[in-house]
Amino acid sequence: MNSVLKELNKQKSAYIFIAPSFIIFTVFLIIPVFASLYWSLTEYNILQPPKFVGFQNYINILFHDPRFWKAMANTVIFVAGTVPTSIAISLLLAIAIDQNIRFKNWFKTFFFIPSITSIIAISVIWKWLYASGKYGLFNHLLTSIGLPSVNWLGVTWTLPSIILMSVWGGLGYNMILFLAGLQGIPHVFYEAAEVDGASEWDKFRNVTLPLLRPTMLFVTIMSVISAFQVFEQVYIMTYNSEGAVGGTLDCALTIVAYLYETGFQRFSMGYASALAYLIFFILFIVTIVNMKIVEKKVEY
Amino acid sequence: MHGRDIPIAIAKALVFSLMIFTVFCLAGCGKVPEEKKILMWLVGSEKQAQKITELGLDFYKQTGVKVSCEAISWGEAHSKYLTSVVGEVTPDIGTMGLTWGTEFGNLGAMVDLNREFPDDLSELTSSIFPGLAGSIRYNDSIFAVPFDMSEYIMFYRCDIIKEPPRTWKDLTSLLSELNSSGRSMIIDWGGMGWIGYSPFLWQNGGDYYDKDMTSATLDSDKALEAMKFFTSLYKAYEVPVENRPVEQSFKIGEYPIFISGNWKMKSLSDIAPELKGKWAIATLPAGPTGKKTGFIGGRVMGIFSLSKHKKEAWEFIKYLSRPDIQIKLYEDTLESHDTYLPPNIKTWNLLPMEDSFKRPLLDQAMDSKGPPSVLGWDDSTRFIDTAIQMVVLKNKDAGAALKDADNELERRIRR
Repeated sequence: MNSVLKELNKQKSAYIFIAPSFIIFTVFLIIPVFASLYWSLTEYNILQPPKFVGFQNYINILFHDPRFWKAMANTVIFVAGTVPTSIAISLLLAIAIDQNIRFKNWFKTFFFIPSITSIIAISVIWKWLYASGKYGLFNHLLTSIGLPSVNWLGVTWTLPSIILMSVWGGLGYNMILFLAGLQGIPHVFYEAAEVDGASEWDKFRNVTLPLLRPTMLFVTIMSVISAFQVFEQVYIMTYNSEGAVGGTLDCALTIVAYLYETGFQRFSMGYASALAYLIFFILFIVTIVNMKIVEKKVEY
Repeated sequence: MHGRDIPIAIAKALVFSLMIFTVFCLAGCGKVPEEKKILMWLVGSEKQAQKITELGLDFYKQTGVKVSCEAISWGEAHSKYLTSVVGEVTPDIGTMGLTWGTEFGNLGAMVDLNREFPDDLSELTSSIFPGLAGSIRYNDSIFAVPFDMSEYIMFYRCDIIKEPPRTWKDLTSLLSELNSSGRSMIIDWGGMGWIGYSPFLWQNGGDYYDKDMTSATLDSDKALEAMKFFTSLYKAYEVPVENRPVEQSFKIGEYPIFISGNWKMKSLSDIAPELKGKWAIATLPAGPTGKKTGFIGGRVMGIFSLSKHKKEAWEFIKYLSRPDIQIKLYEDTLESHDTYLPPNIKTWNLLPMEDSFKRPLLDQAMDSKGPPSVLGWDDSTRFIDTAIQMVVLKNKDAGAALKDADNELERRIRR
């Protein structure tokens, strides 16, 4: 015990150097995390002191709140709609750019541009593109080739529209990650495969994919987590003149949008904290499952 | 000195110099003679906040009280006020959404102007449009007075529509005529929601609550008739259920008539200047009761209980309510492409506006209502929206939808 204390005393000046990040981390992360865990067991509206209610918030959310389940369903649809599509297309792009093509850097930049643009700005622009009737660019294109116009931001189409935009917006980032992964695969494996008479498809299936596994794992987990927390797009695309978020009849209400509404519009901080912990719990499970599926120990 | 001690020496020197600096600052602040200073928060644009600070200079010359005004954005305004109340760092004056004064006032965070300055207040409110006056009174308390207002008004293309509809019947026959050539009307401000429904409800003699604000009345026959008429505009007369770009569709004539807020006057002349003279505004079509009641909203301003200069803050509020100052504010907002209207009826005589616009606006404002002054109202509106959307989009029975909404309103009324 004494030796430990001695050791801790030895490098006093080091504490000063780690102090800023330690304090910031504690004040803005550790304390809020535990505070909201406590609040999730209370009824709390910011103004009056929190009232302890045990697990009542969790019970209400899970058993008496149809809007939570609606938001949950929308979020699952959003994750299922964006993650696989985005991964497939960005992998394809990465492979295409990895070939010896002209204007390689130009293409890289081109596809990456949406990633450096604020998602808020993208959403505002796409909201114009999605304008209903004959007014938006998309509907203009559709009607000019004789197809009926689509009510992009109506009850049926809002969520698919947001998915489409999000896939487009997220392509570049995943593509760059895959590109880095592809460039890390040694050429000897491809040469060996060619000697064995493997076709392009065989090489992709048996060399590229398995060796991309670490990248795949990272991309999948990060995409699922960020897709689960989708908010900005939903907010910009669906808020109305009364400040409500989620669209007509909650057609695009996602779980974080619902969290925002409960916490920062209705100020039910206890309920919102419980929602936040449920989201954390779900993401935790999803990530574990993800790692189990993707990360099989393979030695090469 | 060992090499390892040098960082400690530096750190010590830093800490000491910081302490000395702080002490000097504190001492320095103490020496400045006490000057009365009012801080005002404005929900809205930075530009307007600057203008109010400029007006404050004039106020300073007259009274010796300094005023500074800071803008906060609509999105974060409500939570910012709430946290400032909890943290006890409220400004002296706050401008806010129409219903917030009552909300914060009931939490004890705002001064009841009716108790503190009863004589001044009754003079001030006597010249306020009656619809606004109704929305700021809660029982016998008034926690905030109107800063500006926005109202419902009808826009139409006078080269396409000869005579604006005067009654509900006129409206539906006009819409049938427009429908036959693939055209219709847009309900822009608050369409498919409670704001859009409210005028029809009031024009039919209904309301959300009874007179004493103790019971919800959405289950009445009048509310039902209004709901049926309002939703029929969407279901039978092709009023679009989703947002349309109002100015563009007005320009090409697909929707030569729309109902929206008065601010569209400015955006129409900005976006479609070539339409000048081809459009006009009119009051809303009157319902079966003969009333053409519209919706009125706006910002209110009040004094926070923690303010150390309540009297001075009230003087500034009175200053901002003066007709000549309101005209200045109006002209400034026009510059920044907003069109907030003055809430003081006396100001309207001086208002620099074409008569063909001023008359209908004034006429409509005299017969307009704001949101009901009921605690829990903001939590209830969602259910009215749902009722409307279920009827229009899911063909739910209007009576059943209203009954559901009425229950939710009833449940939240006594909270």
